[in-house]
Amino acid sequence: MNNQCKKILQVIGIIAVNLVIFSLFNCGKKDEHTQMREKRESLRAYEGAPPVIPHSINRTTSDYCLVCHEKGVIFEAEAVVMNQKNAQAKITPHPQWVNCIQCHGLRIDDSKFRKNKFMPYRITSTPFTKTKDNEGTPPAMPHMLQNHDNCIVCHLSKTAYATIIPEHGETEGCPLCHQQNEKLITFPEEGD
Amino acid sequence: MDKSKTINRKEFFKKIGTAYAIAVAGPSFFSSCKEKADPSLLEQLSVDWNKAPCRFCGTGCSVMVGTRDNKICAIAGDKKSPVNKGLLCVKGYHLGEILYGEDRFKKAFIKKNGAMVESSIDEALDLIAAKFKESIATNGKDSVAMYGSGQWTLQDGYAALKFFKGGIGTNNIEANARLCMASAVTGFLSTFGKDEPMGCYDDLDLGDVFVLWGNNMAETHPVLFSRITENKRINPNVKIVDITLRHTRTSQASDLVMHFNPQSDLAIANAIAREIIVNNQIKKDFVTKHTLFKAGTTNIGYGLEGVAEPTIEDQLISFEEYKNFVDKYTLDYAEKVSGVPAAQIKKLASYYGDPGVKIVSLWCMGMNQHTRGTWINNLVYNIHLLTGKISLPGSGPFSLTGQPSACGTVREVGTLTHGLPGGRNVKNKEDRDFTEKLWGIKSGTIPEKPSAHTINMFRKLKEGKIKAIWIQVTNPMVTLPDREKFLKGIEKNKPFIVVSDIYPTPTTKIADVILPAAMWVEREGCFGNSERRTQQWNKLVPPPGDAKPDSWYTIEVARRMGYENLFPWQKEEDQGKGLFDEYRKFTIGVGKDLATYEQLKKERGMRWPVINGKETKWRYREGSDSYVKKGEGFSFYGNKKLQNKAIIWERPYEPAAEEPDTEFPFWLTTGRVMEHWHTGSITRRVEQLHQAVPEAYVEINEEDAQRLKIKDGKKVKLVSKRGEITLKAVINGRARPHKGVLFVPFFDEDLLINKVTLDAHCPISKQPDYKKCAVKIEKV
Repeated sequence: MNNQCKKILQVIGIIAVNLVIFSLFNCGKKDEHTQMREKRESLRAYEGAPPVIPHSINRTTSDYCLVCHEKGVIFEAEAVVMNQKNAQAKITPHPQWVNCIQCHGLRIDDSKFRKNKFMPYRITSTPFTKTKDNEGTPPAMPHMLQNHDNCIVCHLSKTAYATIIPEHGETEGCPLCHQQNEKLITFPEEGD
Repeated sequence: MDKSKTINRKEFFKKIGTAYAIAVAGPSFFSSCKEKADPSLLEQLSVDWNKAPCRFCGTGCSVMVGTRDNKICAIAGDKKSPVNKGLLCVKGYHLGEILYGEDRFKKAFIKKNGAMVESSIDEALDLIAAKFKESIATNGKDSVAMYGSGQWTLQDGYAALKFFKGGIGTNNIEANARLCMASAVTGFLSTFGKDEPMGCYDDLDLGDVFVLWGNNMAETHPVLFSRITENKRINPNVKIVDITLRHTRTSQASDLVMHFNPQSDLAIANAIAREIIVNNQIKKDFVTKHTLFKAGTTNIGYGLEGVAEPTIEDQLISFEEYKNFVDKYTLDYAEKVSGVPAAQIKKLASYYGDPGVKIVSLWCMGMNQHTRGTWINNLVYNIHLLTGKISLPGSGPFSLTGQPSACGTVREVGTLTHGLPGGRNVKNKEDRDFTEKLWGIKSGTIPEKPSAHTINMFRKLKEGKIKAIWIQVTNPMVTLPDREKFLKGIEKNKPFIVVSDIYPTPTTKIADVILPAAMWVEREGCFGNSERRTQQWNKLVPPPGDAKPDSWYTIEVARRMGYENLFPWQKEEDQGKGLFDEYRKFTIGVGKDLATYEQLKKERGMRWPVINGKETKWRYREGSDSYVKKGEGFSFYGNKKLQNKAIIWERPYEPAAEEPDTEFPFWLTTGRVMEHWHTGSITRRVEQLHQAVPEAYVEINEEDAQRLKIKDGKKVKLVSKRGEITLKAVINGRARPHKGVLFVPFFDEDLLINKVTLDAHCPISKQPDYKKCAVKIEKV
């Protein structure tokens, strides 16, 4: 019994030490894809929700928002723009909709909030990437397309995250090769 | 971005081993560990999608509800919905979270020795039935009351109505929709003889000019407003006219912004009618064939407590008499009363008068929460009737509603003191006979006289005349105007109060029994939206703990009181369809014909009247509405006794119940913000909504603030003759009120603006005016 306990403790000890070493080693060095996903999640209630606005705003008209978000802006490294460090303005996939904060919530203050136990839908892993079985087939789209019909603004623009830029570069008609997963993207008919 | 770094990091990850990675990075590691990707994860990621109408406003957007493991995990706009075409607002996108607040009621509570004690549902229901029976035996049928909501499903409303009017035999049933659309109803009834809009949302895509009468649509009906702005984007000639007290997000998108003085809309509308007559822009054949003119009692008071109710009468008048009446509403006079430049009023009148312009008038609380709410509704109809711009694609008056089923449940089922299902009225013998026969109850069960409208119901409650009340899906201790007055009376007389709700609110604080409600997709139900669209949804997730639908609770208490014959549906699963199918019988043949339950299950809602499975887009017009006979052209068949003609009303400008003076020099107006639903009880438990507007505030005009040395973000005190609150001032925030006007949203239960407001109401509709009272503002 004692031996068993010792062994368990040893194993736990080793794991713990390794964890610390790993954490120190990897501190602040999450891989880029994880970083991107975490940032995405922090701004969205669930996968597919419109992101909240991470920075302060002075005006709520679309012309004001579109100054940066129509074509996207990459500010200088470490620059703080509108209270955001390493600021980068992403391109909106729907510049035609002019009441931006109709969907994108502000972040003013979170005090007095009564807690909520909502369990959001998240894409915590990507089973659509290449495996030995599907080698050669284009990966399916792993996310919803709520109000996004322009893949390029996220995947190929100047503000695109490096890890989601396709290796083949820009080609027309993404959905021709990259199928939508029907459970994630299309809605079942009644009674299906 | 430096791609080579990423690759290096990925290689490093590979080297340190899979186990390590799982321990440290959890599932997120899978993405970079490509060899280990598990295809079965695809199944774990899948979501079941089902349709449901949004739980929030009267727009009636359809959402797709994503569920996994018996819980909602995502929401999507429903692309198949003709209402919202896939788009939602920030509330709609975060709708799924409203079910999961940590302090959700899961059990019943009964007040014992001053404390709320968890109890079984059975004990709570037995107690409610016993208390109601006792009150009826001792103090009569009118000593018990039901106060419901425009957020009731059709089924909830129908069960409550049948229980009260058909079971107990009292007309003491009201709903919070009295506070939000009663003037719209009396406006429709007095002009057209039938409630609810003739047009539909298609008008938003088809019109040339959109006139918003005191309606901040960009915030209060954002999805509908996006249909207008989309129309404007495609057709740059489209114009938006905003008649407003504040420069809002709606004003930002408008072409003509008319800042008017509170209450002066009455003068503006009459001046537009006069312009149309003077410029000879009346559509004569339409007016001759399809309209009559009437005048009614004036100086009708404000429904204030202790003031006798006026006798209100009306009589037919000639066109000449009407013409003489509007003649005093010259552009100059309207400018003097309203503060709107005559040129702007003339411009707006020219849009209405131009026969080539398709024009839609839209309004909601601005015109309805008005001590002359019925009149201003009539006056806007006058303009459309004089020009014949009604029931046409892209042209017509459109009264928007605030709650998801204010139309479907309160107005159509008839859960108001005078109401019976399908637009019937307790005052009419044939309506009572029809209802009693259909319900199989003794003739004479339904009292002929309406008892108490909402404000009177709560006045009676505070005076101890109503001894027991059941409040469902609403929060009157936040929404009643001059609420402290009611609270004090209730605390003194201690009536027995039952509250069915999902979260603690100021109303559950005064409850003797709290019933945990199953909400929205935790049960089956139907809502009816602003454009006569009835939408059905199925139960998609189980409710928490012991929670049950309101209709189930109503039926269970009715059974305990001996009215089991009225509700033959034993199981909850049978009640959704059972209640609907019975209610639907009331709608057939009266112009409100609903689709079958089977059809509603399939469709994204259907707009009544639904005849032979086909919906109606524009009522009262031949070719569109099958109730209009061939050759009639138009028929306002609600006014059968008046040759199916609509009424053009003589309604004068009369001042508001309380106006600013030297002691209280500001107008106070109240309303919503986009992020919060009504009293905030659900939206303040959603992080993305709460953090956007965390607390109530007062908007003040910049010049007023400078004069009073009030700084943005600093605390100020608002004082009226009734009460006061202290809150932050906002200068040049999301809306800028014009000089002399203050705005406070009503969603915040910690900063109750209804301590300050006045319970004056329209003497015809009995709807309170939350938009006008006099206050002073002081630095703290």
